[in-house]
Amino acid sequence: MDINNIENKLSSLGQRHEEQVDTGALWSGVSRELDRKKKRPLFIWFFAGIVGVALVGGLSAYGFVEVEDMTNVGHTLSQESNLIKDENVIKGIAGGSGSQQSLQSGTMESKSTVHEDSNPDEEIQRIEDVQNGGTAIGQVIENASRVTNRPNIASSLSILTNKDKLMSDVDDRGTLHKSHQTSGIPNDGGQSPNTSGVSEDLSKTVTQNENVAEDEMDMKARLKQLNYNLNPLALQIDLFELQKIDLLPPQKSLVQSINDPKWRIGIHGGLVLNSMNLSAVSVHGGVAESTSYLKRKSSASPLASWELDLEMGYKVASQIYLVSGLQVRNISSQSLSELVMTEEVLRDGVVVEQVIGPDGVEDVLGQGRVTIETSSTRLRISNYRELSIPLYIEYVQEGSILSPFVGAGVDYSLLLGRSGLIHLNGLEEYNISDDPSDLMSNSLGLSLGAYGGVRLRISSGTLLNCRIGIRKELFSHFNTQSTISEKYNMVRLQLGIEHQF
Amino acid sequence: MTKQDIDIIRGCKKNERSSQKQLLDKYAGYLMAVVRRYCNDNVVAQDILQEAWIQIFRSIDRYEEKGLLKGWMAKIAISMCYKQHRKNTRIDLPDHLPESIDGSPDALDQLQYDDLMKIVNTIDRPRRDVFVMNIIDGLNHKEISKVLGIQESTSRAHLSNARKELRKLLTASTLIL
Repeated sequence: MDINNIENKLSSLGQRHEEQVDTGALWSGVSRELDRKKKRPLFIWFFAGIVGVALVGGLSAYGFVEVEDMTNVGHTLSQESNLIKDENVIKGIAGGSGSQQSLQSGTMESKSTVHEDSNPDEEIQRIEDVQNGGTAIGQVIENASRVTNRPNIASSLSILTNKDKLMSDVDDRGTLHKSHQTSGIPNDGGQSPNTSGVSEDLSKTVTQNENVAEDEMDMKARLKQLNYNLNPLALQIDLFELQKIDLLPPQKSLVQSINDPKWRIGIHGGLVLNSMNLSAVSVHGGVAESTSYLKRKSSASPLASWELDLEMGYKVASQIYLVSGLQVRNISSQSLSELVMTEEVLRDGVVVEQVIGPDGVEDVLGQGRVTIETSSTRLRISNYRELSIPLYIEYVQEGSILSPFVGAGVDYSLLLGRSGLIHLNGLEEYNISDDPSDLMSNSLGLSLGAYGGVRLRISSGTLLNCRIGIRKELFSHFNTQSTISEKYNMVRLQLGIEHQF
Repeated sequence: MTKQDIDIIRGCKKNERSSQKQLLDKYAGYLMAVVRRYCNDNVVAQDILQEAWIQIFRSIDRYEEKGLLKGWMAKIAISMCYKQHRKNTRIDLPDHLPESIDGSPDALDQLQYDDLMKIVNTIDRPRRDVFVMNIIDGLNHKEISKVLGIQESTSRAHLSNARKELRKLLTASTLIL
């Protein structure tokens, strides 16, 4: 019987051979596992968490953008409050000191408190409008109606409606004010107008207006509360401070956004957390031909290193930017792994050759093939500089202060550097240049990435950028002796400053 | 493949527990034999077998009915063996020859599976594994290269060397005349 017959017999017997198994116990274990939900790997939860944080951050910022609308309502209420001061002026008139001069001075006071920078004729008209029906209140309603698409401010609208009703009483008195204003001017050359009845009515009006002021305070408090209800996840202190910034008059505001920026340039720096997997193949040519294969069996331990980038963004459509630039990244990694190295030596002629490997020297006699497989535990230390050109598409939810964004795209990278090996299994370190993983040189790679974050406007056109990203990098290193593929998984945390123009 | 096998597989693809149990009852012994070819420890082999069955049921959607079912399941079981091996669990193989082998051709014909495997198990790994995968379990070199993480050419070299080694062993045992 020759070797082929043995193989055939072995194959035949092997296909029919069965071992005893307790199928009941086996099925019990298998069915229990099948019923259990499959666990997701830890890194999936990790990345899901990152995406979740980015989303929550983005939504919080979006909530704040909505709060700004509510703040505008607050502005109008401030104007309304100033108008109430007008009533106090009128109250002064009702107290007996009414004269055209005092009325006019009161009117001028109204002008200065309501609209400092507007034209006097318009302001007189505005005051008359207040007396005739409260244009400012109408403005309040109008402003509020701008945000009526948000159901949770319906209650504030009902307050506004009540307020409108109260102010309609003022309107009735407003007629008196107006008649007082017109009749109070001495037409007959020094005859004082009879103001006692008017005084009573005005006193009532002022009392009602004080009620209006109280309602207004309640409404402001309610609105403030609504603001936080809109945005429960945001830091309330931060929002309060930012609201104060928004409440500044436009000419004093610290954060005036520029209209419709087309370009953005920024510098970012940050941390990179990376882990690495490596596999390598080395092919040596020549008459005395040999082939080496490397396979690392374990992943690398993650290490933090730095990155810096110069980035340019161009707005290609509303809220969509095309982003590119230049990134410099340091990649440091340590890999404690079992290395399996298979070396095949082929000889064309009858030669006597010595192959030096980690296990010593083996003589290779004659024509044929000899395979030597060894394994060892090694510590691999890598340090690379990576130059990347990113090409990303970014979506920005633009707000006056906070602008959340997400982006995704590819990077073309050039890797510069080397790595070294240290044996840990007690063997003497042999010429590590025999190890293809030590022959890595400058290489090209491609990576896929995504990021998300938020921009904070700190002055006109200038923004702080805080973002978190993930990248999957694939590198193939080619040189005269080896082909090595590497995969890096990265998490990037970046902080940067950008300018819009 | 029998019609019964086809029905069972279709049931498994629908995640029917009864079909899954039928498949397991039918092929558990065969798969255990496959696992034991790569793992000598009975307890570890049982763990590997359970993991292999779980993997089979989870990935049975990918099985095309035109292929050989036993071969497809064997590949999964072998992959699970090597996955376990990568976790540094010992799956040692016996390294002794059968104690008494008669050198006559008739005696060789009468050798049973266990005797032949004892001879095969004396071949050094990974050549021995490549030999078993190729000759007994029917994996081609591409499949072997995936399981072992080696190149196809390496797999071929291993098989060639394993054959040479087996020939030497049998010659030394005067089994081959």
